[in-house]
Amino acid sequence: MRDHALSRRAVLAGGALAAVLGASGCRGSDWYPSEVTPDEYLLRAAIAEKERLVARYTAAIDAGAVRDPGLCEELRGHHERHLAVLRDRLPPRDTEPEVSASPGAPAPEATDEEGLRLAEEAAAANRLRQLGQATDPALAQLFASVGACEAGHVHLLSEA
Amino acid sequence: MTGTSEPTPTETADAAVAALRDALLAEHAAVYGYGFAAAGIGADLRELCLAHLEEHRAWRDALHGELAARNTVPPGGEDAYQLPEEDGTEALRAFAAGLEETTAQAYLELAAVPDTGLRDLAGRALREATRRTLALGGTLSAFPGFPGGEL
Repeated sequence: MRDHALSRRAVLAGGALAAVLGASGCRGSDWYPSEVTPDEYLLRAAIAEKERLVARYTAAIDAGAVRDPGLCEELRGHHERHLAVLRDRLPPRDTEPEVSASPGAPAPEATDEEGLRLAEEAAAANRLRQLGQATDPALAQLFASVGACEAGHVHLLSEA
Repeated sequence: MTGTSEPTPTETADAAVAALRDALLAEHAAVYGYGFAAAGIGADLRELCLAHLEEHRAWRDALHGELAARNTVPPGGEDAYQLPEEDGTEALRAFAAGLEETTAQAYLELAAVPDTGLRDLAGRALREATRRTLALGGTLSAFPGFPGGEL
């Protein structure tokens, strides 16, 4: 594969847009300080979404709400691996930006395969949007691949 | 120019054209390969292969148009591609899955270009390649498009 990677300096130079994002203050239920780059914002949004997906799968499996718990455990495993890779890409910080929504977010309700499928559809659509917004080409590729996996989840849950 | 400078507009455009050409070559091979597979595979998978063949034709044509829009002569298909030595249903199923993996890798490369329209195309095409792999009975990897589906 060709090396399209931009330099870290180039990624950090995206701070102008980051400042705009930060200056806009509250973005729905999430808020990040102005020094967060657009790519870090995308990463943190994807991580928060992945954490919610893992929690949804766990709630569904623990409640016995799904017909094929083995499949759901496999798909949850994919999300956990995505989470690990996404977290590895976060820049090191002395203090983590506060995420106002996650700590107080309600526990997800147990749902069946149809509910999980709908959540996966939304996740795959978000990944396609994030793919277009990423500054770092390598991050764009990661979003493309993760979105394809989530689309695969939709397919498998539709057949479960 | 140092190795850490940002790519020039020309370099960026060249990278996009190169990625488009690679993806188009992969689609040419997929169209040819699915035609071969559909002719020899069992009846229960023939319709699926023909449907996949039509989808690859559509992506091929889309890539052809993207290259033409960039005043670039799109590469044509070759007269022949490497085909499986065995022609049993399982061998052809594995062959078709290999075609999908090749196209998925090409689209992942295309996803790295800065052009948001091409990124969207690449993302959607990678999703479709993943879905077709599953329809063929393949397994889902955590990171489709990356070599071996892994990081």
